Amino acid sequence: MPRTRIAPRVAAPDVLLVDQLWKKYDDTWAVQGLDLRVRAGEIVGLIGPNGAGKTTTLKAIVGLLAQDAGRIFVNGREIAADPLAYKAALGYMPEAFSLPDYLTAQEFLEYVARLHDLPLSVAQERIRAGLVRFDLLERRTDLINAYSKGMRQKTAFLAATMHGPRLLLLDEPLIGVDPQGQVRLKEDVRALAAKGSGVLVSTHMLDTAERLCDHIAIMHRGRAVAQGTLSELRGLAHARTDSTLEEVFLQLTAEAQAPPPEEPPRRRSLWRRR
Amino acid sequence: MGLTWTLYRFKVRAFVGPVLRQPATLAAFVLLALVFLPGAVAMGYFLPDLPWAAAGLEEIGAMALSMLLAFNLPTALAGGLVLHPAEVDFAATTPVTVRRLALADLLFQGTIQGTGLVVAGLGAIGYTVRTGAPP
Repeated sequence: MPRTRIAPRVAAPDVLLVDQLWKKYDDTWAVQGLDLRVRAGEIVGLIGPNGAGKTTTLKAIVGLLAQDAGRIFVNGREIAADPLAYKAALGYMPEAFSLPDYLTAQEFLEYVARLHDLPLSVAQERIRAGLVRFDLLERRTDLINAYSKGMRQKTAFLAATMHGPRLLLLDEPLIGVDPQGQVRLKEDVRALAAKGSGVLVSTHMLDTAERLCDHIAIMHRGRAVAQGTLSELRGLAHARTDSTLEEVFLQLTAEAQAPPPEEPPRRRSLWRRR
Repeated sequence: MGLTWTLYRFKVRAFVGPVLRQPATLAAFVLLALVFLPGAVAMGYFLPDLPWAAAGLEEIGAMALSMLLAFNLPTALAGGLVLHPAEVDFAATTPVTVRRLALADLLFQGTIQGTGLVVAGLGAIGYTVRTGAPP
């Protein structure tokens, strides 16, 4: 099968490396030989049409789904080698998440902080700062079942980021969030990346991906058909230098219409870390 | 134990929250308890009068129920775990061992099942009042 076209980059430590990931649901391959890389300090956007395999990929990375083939490395270590330790470095905000309706945001965030073994004083400080930042402080003692969609998104984002994860995975984080909240959420993501964390954002909002992300990985039919900066993707798509991500995305996904392979190759992947 | 206790407390609050955090539901729950708990005492009181008591059928019934419960846990869906969806999204993706999750769940299920002990205890009181000796 054709390999992902990944534009060469300046070397930085890999926070996430996905090597030939395959995942099948019943008889349908959701992810087919995906190669993906997120370096330290980098925000990578994972974009693609519905059913491209983005959410499946994120779930495999966080350990909620077992892959059929392929390897995943976090901070240079294969996650299968120590499935518990790598989760300490992980922050994950699912697309369709559930929150405990009959807990308050304060209680829920304290619960997540304890799971991450944050000292109580540190947790309290970070929770308060986060609630202030996202305008939730006055509602912190309300039950979550009284929260709007956007307030739930903000709460889930705080739960995913309060421990300062080395690798942050966000699945459609901005859906339902008000403009002010979107700005703050993006600022927090950039601040985390500036501290050396790697961020992988799955989104359908191409304009947001264009402005927020340093690199873009385009998924189509379970494969990453291209990965690079916007200008690099323009080059891969032979597009104009002023093309938008939307135009580049449509071009690259249109080119990737080849029929999918049936099974993962049996031989070991030749794709190596640089 | 600290982390297991955290997981356990979350389970109790998440699952029992609808009862504890809504005054109307809590009032209905207390009302139902007041109606049905005296029934447990009455059941124990009249247990010796049941036609099958002499045949020892209640022991056979208790054994069958015990066997059913003993097999239920390992064979139930999700290995018998009772997981709140938020635990999958936000606890299973943190460095928490499966053993801790399972232990917290065992404590939680024990707590929920343990409420049946209140009914059994009241039944035993009724039985003791009637016969003069505990069952």
